[in-house]
Amino acid sequence: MYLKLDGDKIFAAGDMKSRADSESVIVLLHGAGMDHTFWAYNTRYFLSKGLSVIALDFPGHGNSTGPFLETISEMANWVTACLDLLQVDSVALAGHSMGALVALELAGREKERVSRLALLGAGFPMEVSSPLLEAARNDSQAARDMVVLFGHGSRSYLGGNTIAGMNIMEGALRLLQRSNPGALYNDLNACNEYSHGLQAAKDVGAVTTVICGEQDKMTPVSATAGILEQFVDATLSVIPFSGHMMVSESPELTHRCLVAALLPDV
Amino acid sequence: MAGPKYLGFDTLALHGGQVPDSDTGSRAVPIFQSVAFNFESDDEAASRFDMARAGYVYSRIANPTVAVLEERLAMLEGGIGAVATASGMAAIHLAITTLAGAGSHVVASSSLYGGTHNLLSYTLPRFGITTTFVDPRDPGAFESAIKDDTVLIFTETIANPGCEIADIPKLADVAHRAGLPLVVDSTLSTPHLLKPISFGADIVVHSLTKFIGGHGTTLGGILVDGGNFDWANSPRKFPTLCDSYDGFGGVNFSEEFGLSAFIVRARREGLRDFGACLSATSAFQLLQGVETLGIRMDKHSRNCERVAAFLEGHDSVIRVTHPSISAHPDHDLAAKLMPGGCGAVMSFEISGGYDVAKKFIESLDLFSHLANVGDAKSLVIHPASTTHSRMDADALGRAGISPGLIRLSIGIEDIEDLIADLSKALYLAQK
Repeated sequence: MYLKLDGDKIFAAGDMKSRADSESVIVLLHGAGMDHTFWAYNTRYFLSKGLSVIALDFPGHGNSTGPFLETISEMANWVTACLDLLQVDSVALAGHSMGALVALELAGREKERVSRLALLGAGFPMEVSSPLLEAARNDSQAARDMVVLFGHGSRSYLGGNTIAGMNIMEGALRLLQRSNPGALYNDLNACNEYSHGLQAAKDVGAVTTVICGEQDKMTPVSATAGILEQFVDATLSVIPFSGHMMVSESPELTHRCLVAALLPDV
Repeated sequence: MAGPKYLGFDTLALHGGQVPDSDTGSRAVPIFQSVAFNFESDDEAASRFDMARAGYVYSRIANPTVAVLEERLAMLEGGIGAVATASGMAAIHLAITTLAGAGSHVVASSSLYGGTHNLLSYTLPRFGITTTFVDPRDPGAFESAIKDDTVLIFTETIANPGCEIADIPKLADVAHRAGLPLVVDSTLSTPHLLKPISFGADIVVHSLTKFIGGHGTTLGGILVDGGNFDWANSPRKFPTLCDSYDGFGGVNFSEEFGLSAFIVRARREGLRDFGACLSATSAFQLLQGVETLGIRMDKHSRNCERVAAFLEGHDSVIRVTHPSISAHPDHDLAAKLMPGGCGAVMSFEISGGYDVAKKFIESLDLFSHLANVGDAKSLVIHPASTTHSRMDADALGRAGISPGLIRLSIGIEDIEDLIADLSKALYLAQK
């Protein structure tokens, strides 16, 4: 569905038709240079369960128009504005990578609104290497290659995906190639400069699950330790053999972790 | 330590798409000869049916052995995904019908495999899909033939038997300026010699029966999606991808799956409803060929270059058609697109017409007289009376198929033995 926010066209995959007033809406936030299609299977799953779910495209990403949001804080403000527009009072929130930082920031601010929190490929600080940032600033293919190569576990280089016939590394590359010029740099820079993670984690009231790939080289399991202990109630789920792109690398295991994180009664 | 790198062609040809079986440790790809797959729960059953969770349901839609072949070919081609089919013709049919319906139009090369020519000329028009055929060497002719209802441009990377080479960058440019995808049949080039997606093609089809399988034992086809084409830019032209589809719960493939819309619909509609799926056993057999594709194609190409050079200098030969010959009109283009070799299917015109051609073929010992190309063994056929016999005289003329034309598919035997066999047959044919 499309929304209008401050004159910009905002795209949200999914649907909210079935929402009962008391029910949380599941909100999915994509990572740097990506879009809602990253969550295609998850979105379909939650919809198939009769739940309300929206996978948002950040401004300048996917089907959404408008200028990029330059900081994690601005992105959190924007998600809040979308939720206000949709009159959503309660959300089960999940984000991947950059989207995880946005979800963390939002959950820290809005204890009443965020009922469950799932952070995938999340670590703090989320430092981005200078060569990657520089390559992304130049909008070069090298930046996209680095994200794909460092973003996947070694097993994914050989494939073996359980979604038949899909070549996930090439798929990730195409998604980055299709993103608007400057999107990847904008997003990586926002991750690199975000400094409010520890405090945000302390402020989170929602039950939290951090989902990490065992072979994640971008936000390694070790990088989650510092932030994990800040939450009031958080658990760590590690996806074996997976890298940073666990949603596509290990779709079924990640699905189970995500469902357990957001829908504890299922 | 150097950073991570993408794996190379031969490594992917051996390993791509397979995680060794964790239960048994099987190094070879297991043959999952099962029609259907157990579900753990109602939730899992419903979700797999609804494309909401990964996993297998029924082997017509997807099968774990076939999936290894699909993913491996997608990796070798540089595509985002692939769907395997029962034959190469099934792959071409699936590519076209995923995009086209009654009222749709195709612009295609006039130099096509006879089966493809039949499909486009005679069969698809019965279902309201028409084709305009144009000179494969004239990108302007492709452009001029595009109409409002055109949905794709189709050509072969290396045509047969004329060995016309598709100028993929120029044809991609023509197609993309018109908002159309370029679909190429890359059967004779294989991804070892040419990766069409890297030159701008959007969808690649193969007959796996030929060089990729390589042993003349198994039929199969595949459709590879490059993932570069943005279907949503022309929603009215591609309603199968951009409108909601009642046949799958109202899914809008482009909106939900973005760049993989085409390959997802091909599987979820085309395999489901047309049913031309590949069997697990066939996929296993084809995978044995894929493992050695690189080293075979190198030898196929080298042998073919030697045979072409031999025939070019023979008194009984009027002309030799292979891009390795400097006089071939696409010699330079082939060198640019396929620096590692331009395939092993060639043709030549023998002096004396059909009667001498027939005698030549019947005098060969090592070459097998049959209707196939791309076997590891060398093959021969007379196109005008067999593979292209459904074409009328004008169409044969346009495709350069004369009564004395003989097609060879050069295998990987010792080159000295092949040349000796050809030399003997040429002598006997003219006797």
